[in-house]
Amino acid sequence: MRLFAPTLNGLSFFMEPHHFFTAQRVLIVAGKGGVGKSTLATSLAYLSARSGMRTLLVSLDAPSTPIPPHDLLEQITVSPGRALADYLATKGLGLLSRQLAKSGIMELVATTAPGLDDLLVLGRIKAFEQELRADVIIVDGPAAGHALDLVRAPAQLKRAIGNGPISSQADEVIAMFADGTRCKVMLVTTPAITPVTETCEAAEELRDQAGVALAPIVVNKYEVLVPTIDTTSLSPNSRDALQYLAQRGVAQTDALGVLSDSLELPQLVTKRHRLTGEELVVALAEDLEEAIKAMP
Amino acid sequence: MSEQRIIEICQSAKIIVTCGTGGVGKTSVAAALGLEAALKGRRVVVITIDPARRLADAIGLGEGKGNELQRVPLDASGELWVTMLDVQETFDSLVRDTSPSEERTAEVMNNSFYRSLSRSLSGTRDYMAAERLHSLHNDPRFDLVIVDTPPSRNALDFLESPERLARFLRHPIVKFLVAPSRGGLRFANAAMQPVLKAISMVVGGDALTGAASFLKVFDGMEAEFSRRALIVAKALRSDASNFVIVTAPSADALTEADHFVSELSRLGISLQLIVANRMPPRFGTLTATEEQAAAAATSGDLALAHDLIAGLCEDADAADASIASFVQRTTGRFPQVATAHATELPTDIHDMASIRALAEQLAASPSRQ
Repeated sequence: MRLFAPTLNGLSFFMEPHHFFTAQRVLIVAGKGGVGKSTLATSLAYLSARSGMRTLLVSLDAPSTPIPPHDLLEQITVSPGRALADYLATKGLGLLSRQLAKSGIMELVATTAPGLDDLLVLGRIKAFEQELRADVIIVDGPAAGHALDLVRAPAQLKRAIGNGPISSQADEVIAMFADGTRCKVMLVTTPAITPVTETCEAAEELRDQAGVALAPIVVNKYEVLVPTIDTTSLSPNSRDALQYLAQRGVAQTDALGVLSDSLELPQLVTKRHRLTGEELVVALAEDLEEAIKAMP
Repeated sequence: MSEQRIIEICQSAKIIVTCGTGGVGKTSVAAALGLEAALKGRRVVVITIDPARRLADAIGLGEGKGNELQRVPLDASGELWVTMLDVQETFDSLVRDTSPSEERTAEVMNNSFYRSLSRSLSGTRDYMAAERLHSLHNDPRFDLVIVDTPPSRNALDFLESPERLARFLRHPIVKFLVAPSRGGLRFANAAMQPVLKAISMVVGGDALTGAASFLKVFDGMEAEFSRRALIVAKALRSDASNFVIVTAPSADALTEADHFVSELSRLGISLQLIVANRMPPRFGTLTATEEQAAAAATSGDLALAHDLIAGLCEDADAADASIASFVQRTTGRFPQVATAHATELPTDIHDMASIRALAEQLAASPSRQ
């Protein structure tokens, strides 16, 4: 690991982004569709790079979010669908693996050992971590519901294949998950009751059943609350619109209440922006920076 | 005319398949279409793969109910039933249905490869979704089966699962594993050796032996498996089936919706309906420009209120524009496609009353075609 001169100003009681990012080497970002997981993962990676750390953003799918250029930020795609083929290729069996894939036999192999793709992906992430490929590795991870499958894949696979040839790889990944200083899972939600409920379930399963350390929860797309004003001067349409926004605000506050009551994890709140692409990534990185600095 | 089209679909379709990415309200739309059809007197069953907990509760799908059919209490001439897809249970009952003897059934069920096959998510789930559709489609208790596909890019894979299964079973290595052999894998012929070696290297020899013994037991049963799967494939491509894409106006959701459009087009399946769900509401003649001007002319909380209303108007404008352009792109491929809109409610869909409200919105949605 690179050493960082702590930017001590002696007076700061607050967390600096680089402390936040060095609390673990691998951060797996997970969240259900529509919460903005990939954008958030990209913003985190961008913020990490901007805070002076060599950062690797690992995508499990071709990335759809544009990445703001930064010298310290590198992106790599590790696709589960190709993990087995890649693994065979590294063993000098590339030609064979292409034949297998073409004939559909790859599916037989994957079925014989469920979770194999996931393990091979995790194995590559673990290798990046071990060879210190970067100071910070951010994984644009799976949907929240699939995070548990991913984390459990190594143990499940070990049971299926016994002492097969890749069980040592499974052991190494299991060791990484068991150590919160090496790897944490960061759940992303929006402040609405359905995603919050699912996030709480996922968090409990990950922490209590799989024994994985959790990073602070990101609450994305937070909407500014409607002020209480005298609406007599407003048109009926405006009053209706404000009433709608107020109802949404109440639903948002309720959802956040459920989240705080059910999960004792710090929350990083990022706002809803009417932006897209790189602009959105940068705006969210700024929100994150502010939220991280406000953490005790 | 979308109004007529939705009613027509709910009245005459035998199968409706909804697809869309996560968070667009696909399951709610599936339930709302089911409700609409039940209110028109039809006997409907909705199969959902992985519903959000609250929605599951709303429509009466409790935890651990597996494949059980649940009837939604309704004051209607028709019936609305809902069920989840339990992959293991579906596979088990398929094995029981097609097995020539109880011994054979027991042998399959106890095989370690079979157990991992039915538990692993990929291919098997798709195939079981198709199988479940087959059995409910042929169930005389129902006139309409609605399939709510999983919120995944590969949601339409189940349409191709019969072909994939057939291709898989025809593969030489599978035939070899199935063929009666004199001494097991050690006697594999020269051409097969590198393949077996590679597989053993990755998964270990024991797992491969398990697979081989499963395929042997399975031999003979797969013809019936394929036959049923091909019936489903045919039904899905017939006029009795209607495909619906559900989307939200966000860029992410529309990228996925575009992907589904090209998948359907590639599979030679026609798209009947686009549901633009979670549209920001409009409030009369309010416009973003006027609200921004009002915000500039005022101060403090009043200005903030106008700003927030302006934001809502901007959302509505942006949503209309992106949906219109999606519809236009899609009409290029599917000229007959109709569009229905539903606005986002201030709270999540969490009970039958909100599903009913959604159904009413969809049925009354102004025509855009």
